[in-house]
Amino acid sequence: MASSSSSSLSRVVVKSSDNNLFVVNKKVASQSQLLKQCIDNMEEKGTNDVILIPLSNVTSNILTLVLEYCEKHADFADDDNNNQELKQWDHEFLKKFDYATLNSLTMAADYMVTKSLLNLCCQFIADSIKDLTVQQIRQIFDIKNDFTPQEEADIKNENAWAFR
Amino acid sequence: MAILPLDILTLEILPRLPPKTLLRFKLVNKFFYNHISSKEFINHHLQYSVSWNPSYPIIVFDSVRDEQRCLYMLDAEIGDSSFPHIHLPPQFSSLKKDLKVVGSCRGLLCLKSFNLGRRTDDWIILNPYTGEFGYDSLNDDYKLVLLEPPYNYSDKVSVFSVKADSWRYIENNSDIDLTIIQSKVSNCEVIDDYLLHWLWTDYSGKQTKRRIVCFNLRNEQWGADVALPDLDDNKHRYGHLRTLEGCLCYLCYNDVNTNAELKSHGRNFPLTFLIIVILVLWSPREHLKSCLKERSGVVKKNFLVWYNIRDKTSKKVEVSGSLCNLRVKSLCPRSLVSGFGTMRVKIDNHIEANNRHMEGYYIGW
Repeated sequence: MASSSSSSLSRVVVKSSDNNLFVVNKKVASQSQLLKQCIDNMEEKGTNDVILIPLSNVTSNILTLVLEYCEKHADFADDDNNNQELKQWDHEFLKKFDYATLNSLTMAADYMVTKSLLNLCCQFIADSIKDLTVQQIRQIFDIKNDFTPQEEADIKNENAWAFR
Repeated sequence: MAILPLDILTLEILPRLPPKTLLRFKLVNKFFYNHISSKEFINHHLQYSVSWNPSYPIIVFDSVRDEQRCLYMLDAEIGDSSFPHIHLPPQFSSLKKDLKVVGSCRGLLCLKSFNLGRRTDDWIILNPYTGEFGYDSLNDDYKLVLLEPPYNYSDKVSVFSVKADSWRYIENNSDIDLTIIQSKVSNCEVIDDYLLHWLWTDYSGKQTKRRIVCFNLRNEQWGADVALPDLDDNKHRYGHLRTLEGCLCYLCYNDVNTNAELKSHGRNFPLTFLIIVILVLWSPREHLKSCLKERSGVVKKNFLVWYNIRDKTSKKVEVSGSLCNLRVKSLCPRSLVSGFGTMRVKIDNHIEANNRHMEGYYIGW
């Protein structure tokens, strides 16, 4: 990271796939390793211009959510990870979304390398699908069953206790 | 609708699911079946099980119920209404009263049956969670380690390799004097599958000290001999080493026999009020850190409470029946690792002469 304050940026502009612009504070943007890497690269070059980072895979409604998460977590960045208030906030934050939004958010977190958001989303999805039936899983993740009825019966037999 | 890419689903989400769910999800399609059955996935899943925070390990304990001492297990995630016995394969079900927990490693539990007067020992290695019990292709070796018992002081350890089906003796090249430790060992636990740690008591100083000595199964060298931090001796005198979340922990019991309750219930067995204090001491990644976290489980009449001191959450599990003299034998992560069955180990004359000092045994990978 650049040490001289004259070349360090305080803000960046992030562009969503549908061409909306978001002005983001550097501390907030640093929650995403992808944005942080862009900022670091620019600072190394010693540029003083405001930089524009296009995110071709993230729509503005999902980007809004990712930035909302980053903003909250930037506030708590110096606290330890076990902050109860933050955990509660995380839970309330994700609770609002349907599977489609949750999936998009997960993909955005993966793309923007926001590891804590990715972990949070994946754990949330895992918790919500763990009691679902096989049929429901196929539906949610759009997976086609390619077993014959005989094969299905064999697998059920193999692990009979898990289907009880 | 946005569909999750397969790599996020298989690498990030599936490893967070409990084994029971995963066994069911094998039925989704052929890709799921092959992926969940693969060795890579099973190992990856085990890593999550050990280190991912909200998962509670399976508690394997022995206790007296209906006047019989037996091994039971408890899974706080499922919230079983009864303590089931350890699932044993049919040919061993008659042995269930005579089994001793040797240790656990990679989600597997190693049990040993008492075969008094015979020259062989039966070892059962199974997954207590899935009850799975079949021969795995033994590409990987499991090793049994015997720290020499007290009668025959020697500076060696005996290692039984499952793959080679034979015993070997390993000389001690370190400055740790094993002959002093051997007679004072109370138990052993393994972390990262190959670092074996024995808890022993050092009586040489003015104050008795509990210490931990480490044996590395990969390079077969002895490592650090470290002292436990000072504990309140009255409260923490009797403890055992256990593993929790990939760290070593020192688990103590505070038994208070509630005689008052006993009378009021008019029953003829003691109800045990038990408080478990867990001090996590050591993790291979962070080196010695004392009292990193505490978590306690309280068994109180008909339910067990897990209390996580870090995030102040608790989980209550109802159980049926009363148990006395409950002793936690192992904290096993839930895994899909397949137990590879039984083995009958010939007891070497050399070892048999030393009797069966079980606490010295350990299995590693």
